[in-house]
Amino acid sequence: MSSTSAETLDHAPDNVRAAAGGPAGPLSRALRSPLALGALGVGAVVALWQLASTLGLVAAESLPAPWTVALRIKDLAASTDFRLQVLDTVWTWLLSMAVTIVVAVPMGILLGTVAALYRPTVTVVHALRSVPATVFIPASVLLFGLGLTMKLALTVFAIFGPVLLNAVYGVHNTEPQLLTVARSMRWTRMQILRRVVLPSALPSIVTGIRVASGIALIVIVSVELLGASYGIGTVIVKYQGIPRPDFVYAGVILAGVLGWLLYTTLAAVERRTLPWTRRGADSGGRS
Amino acid sequence: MTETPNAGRTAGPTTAAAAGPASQRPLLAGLTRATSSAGTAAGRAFAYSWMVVLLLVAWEVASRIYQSPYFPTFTDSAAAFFTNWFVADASRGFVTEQFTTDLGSSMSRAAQGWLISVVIGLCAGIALGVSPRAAATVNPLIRFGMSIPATALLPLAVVFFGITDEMNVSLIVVGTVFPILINTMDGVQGIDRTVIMTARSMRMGRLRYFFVVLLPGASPQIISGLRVSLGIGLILMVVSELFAATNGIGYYIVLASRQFRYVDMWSGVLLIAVIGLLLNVLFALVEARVLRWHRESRKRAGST
Repeated sequence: MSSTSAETLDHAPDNVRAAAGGPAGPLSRALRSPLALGALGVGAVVALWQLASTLGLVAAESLPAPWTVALRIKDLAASTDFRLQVLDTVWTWLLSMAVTIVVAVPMGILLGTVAALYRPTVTVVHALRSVPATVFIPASVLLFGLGLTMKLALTVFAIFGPVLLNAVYGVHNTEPQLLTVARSMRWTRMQILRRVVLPSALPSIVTGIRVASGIALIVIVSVELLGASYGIGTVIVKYQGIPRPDFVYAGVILAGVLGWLLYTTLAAVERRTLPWTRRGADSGGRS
Repeated sequence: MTETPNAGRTAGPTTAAAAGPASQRPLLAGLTRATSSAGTAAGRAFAYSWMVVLLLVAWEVASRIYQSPYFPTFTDSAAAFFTNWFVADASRGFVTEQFTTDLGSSMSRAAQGWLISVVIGLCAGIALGVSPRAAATVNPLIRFGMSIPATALLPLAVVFFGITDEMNVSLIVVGTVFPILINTMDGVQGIDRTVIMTARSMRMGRLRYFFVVLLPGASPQIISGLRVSLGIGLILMVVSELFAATNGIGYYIVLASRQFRYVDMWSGVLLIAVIGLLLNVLFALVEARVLRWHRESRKRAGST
């Protein structure tokens, strides 16, 4: 998903209608900007929420008023303990991504290069990827305890497949003509890898990393809900047990903010370091 | 595939990646030839799956060395897998009662949640794809919604619905609707402008435009969204049952682990693994059927 304004051009019927529709005063033009429309959408949802809680459509235990939740968000954001818990989640996320990238990407490049290993690898990774990682939570709590090791083991298992598979596919789908040209120039294998294979595989590798970033956060939070010692999930589940629904809502919203921050940072890093992968990145779906 | 002596220079796309003279790596070259020219079906099956077998052997060896009650051997787990889930009774369809109740309730939750997501995601995704203004209005909401790790909503779902089927289903819906919606929207927005203009200049009716241009044009993206959401749906099905349920395969696993029946726990894990595998194979078959035109047209474009 890139800027919406660029995409409007792609859709002729609406574009034509928009151009023909009415005089374009400064106010109506401002109202048509993506920013204003987005604010409108968010405002509408908050208004609906307020309406539902003032009219008592939903029980207050299930849906506290937006203002109450906003105050709790402030409380949570100000508390040192909560910040430490969030840091723990972020640290696990970073570590699992780093471990996976460092191991799975080179492995994928190797496996994608050696034709004899390509098909068996793809089969085995597909098989492992079909298994929902969360099914191992009870077993890995028994095996690794409640600490960082357990969280890391599960998360890496969950995201290893997508990253490896995308690296393998990326390398495997290198344009054969480019390889022929490179070989006719008598480049060494390392040179071919660095100048031809890697640049053409990178968009696919980056897509794999982006999909993995979302799955990693889901798995980390699941583990925290089901019995890890630290993390944002443990806070949410603690307040559910008390029960303080206003804090639960605040925690969930802050988890969303955390996810948004992580994905946005990842996208920014990606744009900065690999500018030529943008086109490929747009066509991959985030999970 | 043309295997000439000078394989490094003229081989086709599959072996081209393995650059360099074949003589340096006789073993690998031999393996390549064996895998690509194995005539028998058994040979081909082996070429694809020897690594899977290797992995299972590794499980067996590791568990025998490790000797942990939490990590039983593969043979024990597989034996429990068959005794727990299957019986030699044709009238029951060769499955145990446990299989019917646990797997049945799990699958019905996953299916309900996923199907609701597919309907919502497709309708909303297409609507947002054709209307840039609507897309701009809900864009921040969608971005935020997909940033929330779906499992964080589990406590909220329990607050709303209690420990009921609706809780599991609603969680699966929330987690799987965004990949479908976003991919559908992207797919519709990404349709080639020339194609849209051509359709308009042909004065194509709205309904025909929808079925002939819009839907097929977006289908590769839609399908990739469906595939991602299927995986997430299974993850959420299991998590929600581990967290709060009174039946289902996730509940079976957590119950077995609490009652120290670790071999049974692993038999449940194996069952989920097999089910996940079957669903993905099924999905791949459907995908290959639906997207055959897409691959063929790409191949044609590539050959010219």
